[in-house]
Amino acid sequence: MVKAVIVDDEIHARESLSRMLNVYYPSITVIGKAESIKSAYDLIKTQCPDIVFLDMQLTDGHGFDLLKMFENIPFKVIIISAYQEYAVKAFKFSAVDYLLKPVDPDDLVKAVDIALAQALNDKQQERLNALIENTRNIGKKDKLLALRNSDGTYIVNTSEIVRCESDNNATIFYLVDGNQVRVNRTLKEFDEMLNECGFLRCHQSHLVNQRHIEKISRFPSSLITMNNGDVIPVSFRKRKSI
Amino acid sequence: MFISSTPQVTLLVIHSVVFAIAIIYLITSRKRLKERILRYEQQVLLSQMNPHFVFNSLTAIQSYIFRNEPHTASKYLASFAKLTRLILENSRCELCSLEREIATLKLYLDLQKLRFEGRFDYTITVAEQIDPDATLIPPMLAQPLIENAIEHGLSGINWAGKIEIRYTLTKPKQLVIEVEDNGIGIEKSREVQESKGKQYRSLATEITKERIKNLKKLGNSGIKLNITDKSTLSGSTSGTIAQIVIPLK
Repeated sequence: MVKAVIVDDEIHARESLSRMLNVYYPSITVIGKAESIKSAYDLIKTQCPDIVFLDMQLTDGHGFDLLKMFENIPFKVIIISAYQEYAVKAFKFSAVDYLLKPVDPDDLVKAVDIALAQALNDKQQERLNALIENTRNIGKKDKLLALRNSDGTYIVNTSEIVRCESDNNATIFYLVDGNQVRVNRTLKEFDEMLNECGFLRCHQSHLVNQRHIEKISRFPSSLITMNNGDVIPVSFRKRKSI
Repeated sequence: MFISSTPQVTLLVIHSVVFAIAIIYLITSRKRLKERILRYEQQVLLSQMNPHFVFNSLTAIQSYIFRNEPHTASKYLASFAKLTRLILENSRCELCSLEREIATLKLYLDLQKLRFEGRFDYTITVAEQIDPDATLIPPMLAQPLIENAIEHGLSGINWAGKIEIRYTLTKPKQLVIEVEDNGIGIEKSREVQESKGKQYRSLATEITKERIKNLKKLGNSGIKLNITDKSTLSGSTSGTIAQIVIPLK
């Protein structure tokens, strides 16, 4: 049996989610619901749930305040939120699972599937810390980005990424320390996230961090040399913008 | 001849330059005012369709679907649609009738009651001398104040919440809208928000103030907003009274 706790200050959101779980994920038992940080903390301490569905806005504070009360978070966290663009971005950067209200049943099943499949040591703590850090630093250029693949999760500062290259439907990250990380998400997704961090899509298959550009040559062909020595082609269409 | 005409030419040139500058100034300041009005209109629309309200209302409707109460779910879904329609229409009008305004507020309040599971009640009263159909006012000025009453004043209280909305005439041509609640009061609410680490900033109040400022610029100079914490009136009651004074045309 999988034990779940729902923390939300809106009664209908608690009610709706617990009934949806009942329908779409009968193996999950909702063992308790809470509307405030204080009652949620007590509930979690006594009931030891496997999953906590956590809303960000609670009557006595922010959802993160609850997470900060645990030294090591011993449960899976799925964040629920009414739409706020900045928050959604922060979730994406930190690869933290989130659901938007009202909850799409398919998204719910997907999020729970992922949460249950992950081992607890999948750096959830680090990802949540990165989320909290990113939310605190909204508007700053450098952010923490969680890169997840089958080997594990790497949290990198965007300033430590030299460039990204697409590889079929995956993306390979080339880091300052020489390491490479392959992530099963498209370059397009990362382009959308990273363009505000000073990244430049110079080619269909390439996304470069402008701060690591060594030089740009325009003749005979447009090329960007990165400070780690990599040479990246510039597509014809992007030439003018560089 | 040529030399003697020079001062006149110079004068003419100076005049026309000054004239041109004045015209350009007028045009740009008008343009800026128009831009501001457009911006605040969008803000008004956004404040009425506050994402927190929209998505939580929809979640409440979803909960009735999963409780197998299709009738209730459909009723609230229809209310939500009606409210959206009225707000969209209102956002295009400078003035709307009081009748229409009250219909919009009722839909809004009923949806908020649904969200808060009837933890508050409300009344809307219109003084007898007022003809709601013939009285024209800028739409939804009171709505952000009602939102404040619900989300800040009444949330978290352990007594029955009450919101009274009153439309009265203080002079033959002066309408007063009052939004009174029996919540914790604006001062206390500010403290609560600050204790949560948020810098107290009520978007609703800011938008209302900005809107009133713009309405004044557009010629409705007598329009006013007063917000009073009831504890400053008498020691025993808590709550907030927000008052908008609108000179009618």
